[in-house]
Amino acid sequence: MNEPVAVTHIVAGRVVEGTEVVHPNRGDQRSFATPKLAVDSLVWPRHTPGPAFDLPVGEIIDFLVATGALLRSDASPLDDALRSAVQLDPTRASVLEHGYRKLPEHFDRASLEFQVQHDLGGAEVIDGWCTVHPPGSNGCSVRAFPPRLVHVLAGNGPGVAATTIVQAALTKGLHLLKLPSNDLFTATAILRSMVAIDPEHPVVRSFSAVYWKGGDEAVEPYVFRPQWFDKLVAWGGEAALRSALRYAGPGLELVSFDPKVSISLIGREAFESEATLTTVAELAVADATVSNQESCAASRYQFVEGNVEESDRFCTLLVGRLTAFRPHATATPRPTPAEIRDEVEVLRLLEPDYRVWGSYDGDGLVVRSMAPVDFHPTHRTVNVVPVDSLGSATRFVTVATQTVGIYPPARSIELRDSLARAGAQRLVPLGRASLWRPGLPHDAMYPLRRLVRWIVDQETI
Amino acid sequence: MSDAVTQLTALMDEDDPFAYPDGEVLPVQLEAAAQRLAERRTQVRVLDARARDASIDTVRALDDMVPLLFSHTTYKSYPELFVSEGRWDRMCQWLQTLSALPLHPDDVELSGVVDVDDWVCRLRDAGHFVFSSSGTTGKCSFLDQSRSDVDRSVRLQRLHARWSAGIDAQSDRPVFLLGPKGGTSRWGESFDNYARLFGRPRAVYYLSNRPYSAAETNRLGILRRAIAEGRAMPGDVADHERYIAQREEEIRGGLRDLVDALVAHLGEPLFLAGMWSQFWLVMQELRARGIPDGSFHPDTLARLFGGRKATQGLPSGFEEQICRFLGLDPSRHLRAYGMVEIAHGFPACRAGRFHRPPWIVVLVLDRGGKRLATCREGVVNGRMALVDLTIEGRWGGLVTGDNVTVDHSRCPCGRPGPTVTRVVRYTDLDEDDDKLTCAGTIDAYVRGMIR
Repeated sequence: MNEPVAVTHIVAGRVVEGTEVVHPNRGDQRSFATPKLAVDSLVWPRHTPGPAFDLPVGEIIDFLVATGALLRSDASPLDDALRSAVQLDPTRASVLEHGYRKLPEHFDRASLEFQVQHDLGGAEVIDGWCTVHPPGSNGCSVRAFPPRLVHVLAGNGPGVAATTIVQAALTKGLHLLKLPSNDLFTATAILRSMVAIDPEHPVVRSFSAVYWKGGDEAVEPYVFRPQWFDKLVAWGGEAALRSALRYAGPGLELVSFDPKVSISLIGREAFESEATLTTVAELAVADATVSNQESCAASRYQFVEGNVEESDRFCTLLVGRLTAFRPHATATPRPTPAEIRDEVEVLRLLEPDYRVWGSYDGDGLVVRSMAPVDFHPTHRTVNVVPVDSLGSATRFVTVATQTVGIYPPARSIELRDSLARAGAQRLVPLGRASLWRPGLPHDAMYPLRRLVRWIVDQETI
Repeated sequence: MSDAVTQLTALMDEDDPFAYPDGEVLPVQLEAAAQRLAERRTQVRVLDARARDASIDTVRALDDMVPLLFSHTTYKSYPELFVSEGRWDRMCQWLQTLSALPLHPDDVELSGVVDVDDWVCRLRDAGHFVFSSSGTTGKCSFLDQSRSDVDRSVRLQRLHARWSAGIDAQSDRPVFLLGPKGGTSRWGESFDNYARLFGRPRAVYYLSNRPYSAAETNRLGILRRAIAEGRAMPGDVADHERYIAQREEEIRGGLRDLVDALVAHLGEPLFLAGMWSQFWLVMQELRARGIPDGSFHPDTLARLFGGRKATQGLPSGFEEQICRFLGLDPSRHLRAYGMVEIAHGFPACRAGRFHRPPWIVVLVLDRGGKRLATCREGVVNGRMALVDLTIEGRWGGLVTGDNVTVDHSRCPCGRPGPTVTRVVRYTDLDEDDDKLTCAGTIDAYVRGMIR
């Protein structure tokens, strides 16, 4: 039996090593070990300000930019993080490699400044008190006050950790990151880069990143309290959300990035020529394989404006391209899970209502049906549904729909109101589902604006 | 010399079919499995496709069966749309992909079918003794069986009582069945079998005379989908809630009637069957009427069942309490490990272990259900898979959701192994792996209202 893989904790900016607690992992995967958790060290008493509360946001941006530069350099701790992550789950190697290559982009100055400007409303709203004039008032002061947040991270892609750290740093608040067991190393690696730059930096001292098993009764009931934290920020994971809901209540608000499903809408323009259809299939595959189809933005259902014969032609091209390597997708295929295979192998025999392309080895599976299938497509499985018009496909959009990839992109103008009405939150040109632009709304909210505490000092002027 | 399947089936009539050592049973099982595979491949298209995918042309070793196992998902793989749109010919087409019996929609009278219960009735009229099993997902599974499969279940239920308690079914006891009378479920079928085997005429009592309805379970799934899609109005959900409450009240009424009858027959040897949770309620009611522990006739037979999910609300030690109340000798307690997909299951011996019937191949797999445990001696733990070699109506290979401990050594009761000594459902194991992703399904958005 292999030694458990060691997981480092960061507690209030200090690196804590140790392997006192061994956590068994699922099935054949290696177990991992963490330092013993001291719950008292995970909270910051309210009567003392956080180290970064009064740091100008411009200086925070400088520090984040420096962190990005370190992550790009040879001294980046991401290589170690990757090595450890692959020891736990070898099938994730190429998803992580790709994710880590893109990680420094989260720390680009222009992007950080855009977030502060567009999401929050400018540096001045968080750097100090801004005057506003409600009707009949001489003036009131409002500040985006730094919050105290627990972040329950998701681990399907390393971008979640980077996004969280960037957003958290920009709020100037105090942050406890609860690591997920499928990404135990990214957040810590980013924070270690910060430690390497300046271990005493106020931003560094504002972060803890530790692992405990979600729902742990020895941790959560004591830490998830309004006396210590203002908000619980949960990224997906239905079980995690349910657990967080037990603690949300007066004084402790739940900010939920809900678990989501994404789809594609493919207009009849795709059938203009064989070359166009091939290109569209390429774009559709790019969206279906975002983070190896583990992410909320990955397309699972694709609605094609055409008849069955046209849809089937599209399916043929789709399955051929699914099997080809994609930058986001792992090179080692993960076989189709039994619960999907058991359904699909029966659907395969139900022609003409259903038609199936591809195999169960994880290279790619396409199911064409007249309505969305009953199962949740994962592991490079795409469900293609022919529709009379893209407008009629909006009936399949629900409150769980996140990203809608559209071809041709110009069709979004006619569709966006009805898509938004039904529940969708993000429309992109087909093929761009993985293009996140920080500073834009996410899950129908402006995240920074939602994370800070808006405080008013009335009639002071 | 008869073929291997016939040899194994013939053991059902012996006094102790569980007395044969694995070393003797296994070669016959492999031969029977090869015989079954050759036959079923020509009938069950899903099996044929599976065998081709896995490049398996016959069974030479246990490993050869591992890629050929179906799951409970297989038997509920029909598109819900076929049901909600009433496309019963398509449902027949679906069932044929899994059935070993010829099934052509033209041979089944489908006119006027309004729900899956009707559909099952028409199939039964056409010689397909289909039963349903309710899942927790609001979608029933449907499994085909032949007339001889039904008869074999009766035979095995009789065998169980004879083998465990030394009591031969004589149709001479008051029988209490804590479930609905009739309907399409597997339990309904086995209750009816118990009624016929043990029941004295006019002394058979059911908890409810309303037949079990698969359509009702499926309607729940359809309502769930309608809620998800925003089509179900608040009033629709409220109506459903009221309906459930009304059904629960009906069951409480049925329970009181059943207890009245039970009190009247208390001094006689009875036959009782039902879920632990239902029997718990019966016991409460009897106690409230002043009936103390040990008031039952010592020859009373009981078949009590139900996994962790069904017994969640009960206090710890509920089994001991109920057995003490019944004064039930372990030999009179007809326990078995099984699932609806196989004919009857593994009966428990006096030592409390579940014995593998020789007509069922046991395959202990890894957690993922992909590889056979290397060891076939001593104690092995893993995912239970099995092949029931006697089933005529479908392929008998099944991988379960159960984590089992199987002991291949001799049982304390004196019989050879393998025996199942411990069963836990994987979903009940505390292995929530804490791997969070932002991807999810609409199921997360349908909450609270549906039970």
